Amino acid sequence: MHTLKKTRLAIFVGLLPSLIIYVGVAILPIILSLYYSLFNWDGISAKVFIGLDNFGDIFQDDIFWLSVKNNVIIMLTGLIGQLPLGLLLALLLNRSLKGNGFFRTVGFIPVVISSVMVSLIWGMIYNTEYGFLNSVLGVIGLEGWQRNWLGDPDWSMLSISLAYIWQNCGLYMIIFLAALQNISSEVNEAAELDGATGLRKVILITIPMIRATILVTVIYSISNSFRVFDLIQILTGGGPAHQTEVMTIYMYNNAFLSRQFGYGSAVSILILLFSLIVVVIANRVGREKD
Amino acid sequence: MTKKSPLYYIFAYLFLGVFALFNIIPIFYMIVGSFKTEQEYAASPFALPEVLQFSNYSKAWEVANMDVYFFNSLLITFISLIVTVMLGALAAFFLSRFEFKLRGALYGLFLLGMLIPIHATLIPIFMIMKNLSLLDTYLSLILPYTAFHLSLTIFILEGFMRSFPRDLEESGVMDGAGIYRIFWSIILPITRPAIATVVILNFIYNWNEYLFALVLISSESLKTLPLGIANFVGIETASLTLQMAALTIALVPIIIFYLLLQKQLVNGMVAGAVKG
Amino acid sequence: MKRSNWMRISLSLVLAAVMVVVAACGNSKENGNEGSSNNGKSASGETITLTMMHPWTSPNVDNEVYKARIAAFEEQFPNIKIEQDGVAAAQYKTKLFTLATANNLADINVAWPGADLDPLVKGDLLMPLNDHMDSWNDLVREDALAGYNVDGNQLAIPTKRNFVDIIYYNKEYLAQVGYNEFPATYEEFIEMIKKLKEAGITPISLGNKEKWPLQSSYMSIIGQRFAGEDFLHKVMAGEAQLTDPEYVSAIAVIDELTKLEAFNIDANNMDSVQAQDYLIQGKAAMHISSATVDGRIRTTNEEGDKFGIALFPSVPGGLGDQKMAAGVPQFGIAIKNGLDEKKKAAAVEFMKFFVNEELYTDLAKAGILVPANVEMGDDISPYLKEMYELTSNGTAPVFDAVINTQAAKEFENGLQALTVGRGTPEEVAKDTQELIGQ
Repeated sequence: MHTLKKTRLAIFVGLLPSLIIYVGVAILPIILSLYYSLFNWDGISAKVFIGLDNFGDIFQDDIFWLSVKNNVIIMLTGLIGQLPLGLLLALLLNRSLKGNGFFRTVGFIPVVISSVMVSLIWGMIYNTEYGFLNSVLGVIGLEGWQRNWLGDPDWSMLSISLAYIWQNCGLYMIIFLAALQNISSEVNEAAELDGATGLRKVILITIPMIRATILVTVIYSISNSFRVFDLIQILTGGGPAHQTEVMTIYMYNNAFLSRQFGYGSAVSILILLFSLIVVVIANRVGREKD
Repeated sequence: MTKKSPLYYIFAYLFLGVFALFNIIPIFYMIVGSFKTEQEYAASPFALPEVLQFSNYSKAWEVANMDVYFFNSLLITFISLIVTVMLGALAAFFLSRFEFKLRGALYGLFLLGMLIPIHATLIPIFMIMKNLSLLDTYLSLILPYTAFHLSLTIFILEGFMRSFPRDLEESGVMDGAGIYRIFWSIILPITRPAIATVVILNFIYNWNEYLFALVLISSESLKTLPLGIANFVGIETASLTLQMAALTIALVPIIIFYLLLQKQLVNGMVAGAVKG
Repeated sequence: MKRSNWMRISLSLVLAAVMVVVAACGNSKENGNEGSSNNGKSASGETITLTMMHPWTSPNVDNEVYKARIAAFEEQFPNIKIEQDGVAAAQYKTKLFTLATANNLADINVAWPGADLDPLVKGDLLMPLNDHMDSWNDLVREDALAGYNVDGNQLAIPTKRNFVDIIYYNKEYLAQVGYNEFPATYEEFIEMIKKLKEAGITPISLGNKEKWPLQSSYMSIIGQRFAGEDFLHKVMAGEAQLTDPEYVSAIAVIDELTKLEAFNIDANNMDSVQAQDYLIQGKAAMHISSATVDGRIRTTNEEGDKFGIALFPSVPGGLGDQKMAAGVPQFGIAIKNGLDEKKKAAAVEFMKFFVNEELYTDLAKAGILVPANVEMGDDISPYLKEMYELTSNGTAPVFDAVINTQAAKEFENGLQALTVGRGTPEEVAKDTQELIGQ
């Protein structure tokens, strides 16, 4: 029914403006980056063509692989921390709970608050000598658990992950909330007539109903994890000794601080490539059951 | 709806209470800090201020040049937001409800935008804007904001629109309505919760965006709020209390906007069902 | 709702466009008239607009002085308009670099010497001021001008002198462990740190999250003490190596301080400002930072009396002058290369007005160290006087003002690794040396 010529024209007209802006301003820069990645270039002097040498150098740099590993940690905590927490919040706040408007707003605060405040607050929570977390552990008699949370290489990524979950779970909460609105009350009532309540209903009825949205959030969460920058930059700056560097910070340090713009561009191409691979796999796995 | 056991409510409120506490403390800390003198804050960051320094707010307003920047931020945020959501919704509609050649390729292309590391595009975008002679104009920000957030907008909206039953448009087609009419009066209303979601996301991203604004705008008369908020930090000095005052001011529009849209977020289906 | 918004916005956009076109036409007409009667001088009422990018946005006293000076210029030269682009200091260099890549600098810029000046030199982006030096040769100290002189071309005139290695200390804590004076030798200094540790006081607060403090505030002066003030220049010239034993001993100081647990535990997750606050709050006995932060620690602090200032102590067998401080001439004012004649004349006019004795005097009055020999007056604060005397015994170069960026960044990472017990001073020296001159 949708194959008329007129329809085709309508599709073309509808998609064209988005495409022009998007390709011109978002895709073109990446093509330029791909081009720069083939050069030894400080951004100002003449470019020297070096083929794929930048990529070779990157693959031989242990710090790069460390940053890849850290990205994987962030991605996994995003998937197993943010999404379930966001879904749990959405499920709780979707029903008529007293004060749910308040909680919905409050849940969203971490998403909108400035990174300056995020840095100050989490710095205070994790501070070794005067921090909130170590104080609480001291009060409840767990002195042995006290740590230099952000400075100890064994714990720093975990500490960052916790802040990352906190910062973004509100985002997924509202996406899930919106999705839950689309489950009609008839479906809910039918489920309850069948005797499905509580957790059983959630697992058997609700989650399958919002599967498409869950896939959306999974992919969104993966893409966010590969682009994480501000949070780590303000909490540890990638330190100590590169231990908490992720690929974007590695790229920024090389391109803007050490002024190896060609090398930095090559890193950014790899970020794009790696995240693309993961997203394609996730998409395949997620769509398979359709 | 079946009644839940009291245990459920105890658990739910306990969980939500702890969660809320964690989220409110930063705001509370920021607001308290914004009323202190710099010396009070440096000496004891947790203590309450002796005298409320309301003057911090007027000083912050002045240093961050909010007379000008506030309006610019509103303008750029809203124009980008409207353009992005309108174009994105339309694109998502076609991508989700129609089969045509290149549909998969186009969808993949738009999705790619969610994976682009923003910092990598800084210098290329600067060059592009320079070549288009758009440097130092509102458009130099509106275009990147639109381009980069189209991806997420399309992605979320496509996911929603795809989940609607296939026969939804048929009543429209039978009435002889055109495609754009179907989009406007059938699909768009029931997508409202999702639209509210992407509107909020777009608003936040545009409102807080810093990096592009930093390099693409040079005229004081065109700068945006995040640039003003950065004005408080030197290299080894900072006026944190003034900055907190500025941050508090900057947070107000987001909160208002969120509260307004929250209704759409939750009541969307009801409204949609009536219209549909 | 949406539709009417749309209408309003598109309407205002159209209106705006019309206004721009009208304004542009008006301008070109004016220019046309001007063109015929123009004989080189800009006295005919034509306004020249110069753009200027500067990092003077935060509400500091020195920034106020600079901005007042720009305002004074505009008042005196009504036909030259300065369009300012104030960029927050932390991101100033990122913007400068991005603009430089596209050869799109402002007409007048504020530049740092050494490695930060490099890209601007490489791109030939700054105008040599050699022909106009009469205005500044006698006024500005020669060693300060040298920082902005590359291959015989004077590319900028510095307006501020900053020392990066001032030790601020809490007099009460030092007295508590038996020191009424700051120790004069390295051995005593280490001895004092041990005593502070025993007394349960954190000896030094360090905020090294951004990684520059150890490189700039610490290693500039420690390296000078051990290896001499010309060592870094020799390294760049290939006459010395960072792996030379005297410099490795300098790096080993950081290792020794780490092993003594002289720093606060969170040194790598705190920024410089938070570390200052640690000192102010009495959570540490010492803090090493630039002369600029004296304002925060002492001048505007009601309890400023509690704190004293000192320089790094002398080291045994050190090759450098043991009294020097490490400093850098900052905020060099530079003109973009390739301006047309009219703009160039206006820019030089601005430079001559902006960077003159009055600016230096105003800055000195506001408590800022300047790279010129100006009268300080009697009413300056005792803190500034003390700072002035402390830093008057010669200036050693700052590490990253001499060493190229890539090597300096590697050095910063290596130093940070030492503070978490990774690597050795030899390795840090070797890894950095490999990147020298790249």
